[in-house]
Amino acid sequence: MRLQRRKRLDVLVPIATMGDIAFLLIIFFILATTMIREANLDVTPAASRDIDKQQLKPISITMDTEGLIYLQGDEKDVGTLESDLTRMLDSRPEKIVTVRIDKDIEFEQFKPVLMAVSKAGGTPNLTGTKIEE
Amino acid sequence: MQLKRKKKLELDINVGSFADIAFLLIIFFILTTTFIRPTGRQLEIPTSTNDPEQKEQKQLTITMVPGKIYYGEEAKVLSIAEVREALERQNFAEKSEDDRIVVVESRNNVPYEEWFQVVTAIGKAGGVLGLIEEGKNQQEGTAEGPTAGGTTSGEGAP
Repeated sequence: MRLQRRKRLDVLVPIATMGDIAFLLIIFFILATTMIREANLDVTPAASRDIDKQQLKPISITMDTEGLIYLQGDEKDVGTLESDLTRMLDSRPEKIVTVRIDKDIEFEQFKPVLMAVSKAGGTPNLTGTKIEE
Repeated sequence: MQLKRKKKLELDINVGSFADIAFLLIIFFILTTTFIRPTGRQLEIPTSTNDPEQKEQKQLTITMVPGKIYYGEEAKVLSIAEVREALERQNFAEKSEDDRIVVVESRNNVPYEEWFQVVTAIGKAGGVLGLIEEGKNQQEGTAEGPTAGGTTSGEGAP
């Protein structure tokens, strides 16, 4: 008896749309990425046991090792910080401000920053490094 | 005379490698992206001026000088771990908002890390941080930390 040879199935993966999918993914990544403007600033974060993971908020204030104040990455004077913050927070429903201060900055220097946040109607989210228990 | 017709140049953009480029870009983005979720604590900071009437209210006060924490009216010197325990014992969750205020008075030279540890402990225990701002007719220095305990030796009550 002669057996019929099985026909080989031609399996083709359609890859013509791979490029489109890839570009859609790139566009998604670009739109979903939040660029951190203060990444280049020299700040050693303070450590504490009593902190938890927080959401990254769009408004941030940084005080670097030299005590310079940056609002959204732009250097600011402590005198104008409150008015600038008030203007920013007025247009936003969320009033949380991420505050990053170098661990060695003294109270005399960082107190006006916290006062400015409070007076501008913001809620400071003090960030630092978590000490694991 | 018959002119020779110019040959039309066929212009083709080679798009065959577009997908490869796109995937390389994706791999680059994936590898260089850092997903940051900062660790921290949100604190409500109601501001007030340091007037004597407010002092009469029985608010818990923590006084800080560099390297030392004075806790409560008795101004006991406590470590940060002891402060944490003492704050937990306050049961802020069962108290009204006014009674949850913990006033932190600090010397001007207290480093941020020490202050940060105390205020985050207050926040975690459910307390509300009260920062004292000097009143306009207040003498300079009266709102800033202990008057007697601020010596470098740190002996004595604030």
